[in-house]
Amino acid sequence: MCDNGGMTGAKRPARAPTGETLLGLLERKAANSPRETACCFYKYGDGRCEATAWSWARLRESAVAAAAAATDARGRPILLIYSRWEQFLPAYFGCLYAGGIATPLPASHPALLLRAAPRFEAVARDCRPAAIWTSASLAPTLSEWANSRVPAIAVRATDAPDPSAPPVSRRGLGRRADPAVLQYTSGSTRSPRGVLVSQRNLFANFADLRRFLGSAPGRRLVTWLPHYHDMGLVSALHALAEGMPVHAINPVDFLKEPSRWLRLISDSPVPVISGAPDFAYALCADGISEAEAARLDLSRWVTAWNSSEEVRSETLESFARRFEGRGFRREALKPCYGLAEATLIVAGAPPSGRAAFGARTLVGVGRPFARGRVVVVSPRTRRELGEGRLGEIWVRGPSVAEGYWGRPAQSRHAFGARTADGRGPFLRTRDLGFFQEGELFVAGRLDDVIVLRGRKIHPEDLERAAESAHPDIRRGACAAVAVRGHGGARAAMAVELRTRVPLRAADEIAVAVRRAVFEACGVELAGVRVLGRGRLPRTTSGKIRRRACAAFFASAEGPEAAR
Amino acid sequence: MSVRPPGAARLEAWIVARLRESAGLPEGQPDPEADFSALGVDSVALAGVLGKLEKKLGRTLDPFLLSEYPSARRLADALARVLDSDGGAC
Repeated sequence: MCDNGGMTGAKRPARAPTGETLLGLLERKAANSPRETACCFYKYGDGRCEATAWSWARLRESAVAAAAAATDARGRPILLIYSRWEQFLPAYFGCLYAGGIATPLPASHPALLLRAAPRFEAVARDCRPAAIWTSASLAPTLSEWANSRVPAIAVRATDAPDPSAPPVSRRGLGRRADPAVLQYTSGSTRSPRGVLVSQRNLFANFADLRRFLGSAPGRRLVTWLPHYHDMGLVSALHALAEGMPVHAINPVDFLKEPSRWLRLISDSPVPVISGAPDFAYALCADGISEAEAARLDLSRWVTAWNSSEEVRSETLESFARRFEGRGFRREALKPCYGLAEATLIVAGAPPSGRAAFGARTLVGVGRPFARGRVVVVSPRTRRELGEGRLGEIWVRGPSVAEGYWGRPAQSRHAFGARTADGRGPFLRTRDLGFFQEGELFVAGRLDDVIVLRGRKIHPEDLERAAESAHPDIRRGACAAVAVRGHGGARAAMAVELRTRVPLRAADEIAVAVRRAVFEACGVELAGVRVLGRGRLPRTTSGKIRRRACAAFFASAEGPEAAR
Repeated sequence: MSVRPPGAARLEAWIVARLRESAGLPEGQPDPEADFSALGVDSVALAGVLGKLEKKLGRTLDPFLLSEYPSARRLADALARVLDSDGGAC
């Protein structure tokens, strides 16, 4: 049941018709340029690198196969839990074919997967998925959890489709009003919030991305970003929509050997667009050997965007200096700003200047892409603030998502803000910033959320893990804070004991806290401060003052400073 | 303590040295028995150490090893056991 002209026979237009959907794009490319490379996946092992190019025809076939025999998921979320790009991408499009709402979640090794069960459970309770799609290697472990919960959720391995399954009965190619993704990157573990991004939002953001990145056919995207993060997913879909092949390595392969990222860029015969959070640039500037660097040619890297955590001027400087001799152009480094609630990018148009903010030098994240889209507002009076004044960043425009899944009240508050003079609706970002000469500067958070390598971590999640780490720790008396380490933001923890003086060695307690936080949240603490009873800073009403706790770690540069 | 597999002590010293480099720790640190999470080394740095181990040993290592064997000693023992049973040198 191929709608809209069908696949076979009739030629589809070479150019994107207005209002084309993601599936329309996939069908058009598979019909018109079936053998052209859509994406290329890299596998590293035993000292070798193996590249597998996927044509548009193969991507479409795999997507259709992934959707085969899917239970009807019309308008319902499907959790997509994969550890590799080559498993995820066909499943993503397959999910659209099945009429489901793609809901990507992070996956890890099967042995560790069940540690993420509380997170899966919270998301499942929030969005009541029709099914879980995953890979054959993760399916047995996920089934253990999904079958034991009430109600059980069906788990399907999409990379080993059943050949006897009946062909998918597709529902056509959808409309721009249909969901593109349900993105769970905000909210705490206990109370996750899924941002519902429509295809209309997505394509509107693509227009800004095209201008910002300089996207054009004949270029390629090189990415190591996780597919379950808005920056990884949206940038890859954008590249496909622009006819730029996606060359993807998996995050863990980049982390094991950062030079692989730059190697892939260097090996490209065509201009490359590739970006990452700040820490990745710092990692490359410091962690790549002379011998590896000497073999790189980065002259075809036209856009190196830097986003999703604080952009640090030291990083830009050290990266540019380190690789200038390798053909890297300093102008290619482009800081930008965005968030899942606005699909992806919000600001990034040149220039990127510097601004003094207290003792820090902030890097500008560019200008907004259209007038009036971004305002800085006093969170108290809701009045728009002029240049140089610090306030909450509010965003509006066609990329701003519809809201949070199943949370009308929270959505109205977050997505329906109006200025004191009645303009809106705006999205409240909870980010603090200011304008200087028309350029946006992000200075921090309005709440206590800790941004670690593009991941937004709610301090409550870390504190809950710390509380139960050791019997001497007082309930509700832990404070997680962000501290600045030499490689960027880190998390640290102050814990208060039940007693005035530690009954056991504070060292032992600190170790237990570190282990518990790492196991539960995957976050390594840069410091743990163990305090006697009554020593944790609180307000007169007894609320913990997290910001004041940050002072314990103010001089913490390195692992020894605060134990 | 049971007898350590052959090569474990050397591998442990090597891992300790890489951890020291990536965390900027002084000579004599870290304690090979200390949990990785107690070293203040972040997961990015740990993954980098794993990547260097892969190069040294010439084989792919799953990142879950770091959680399953969360100290230099335990990781070295586990790897040495595998290498020993494979007849590989390390």
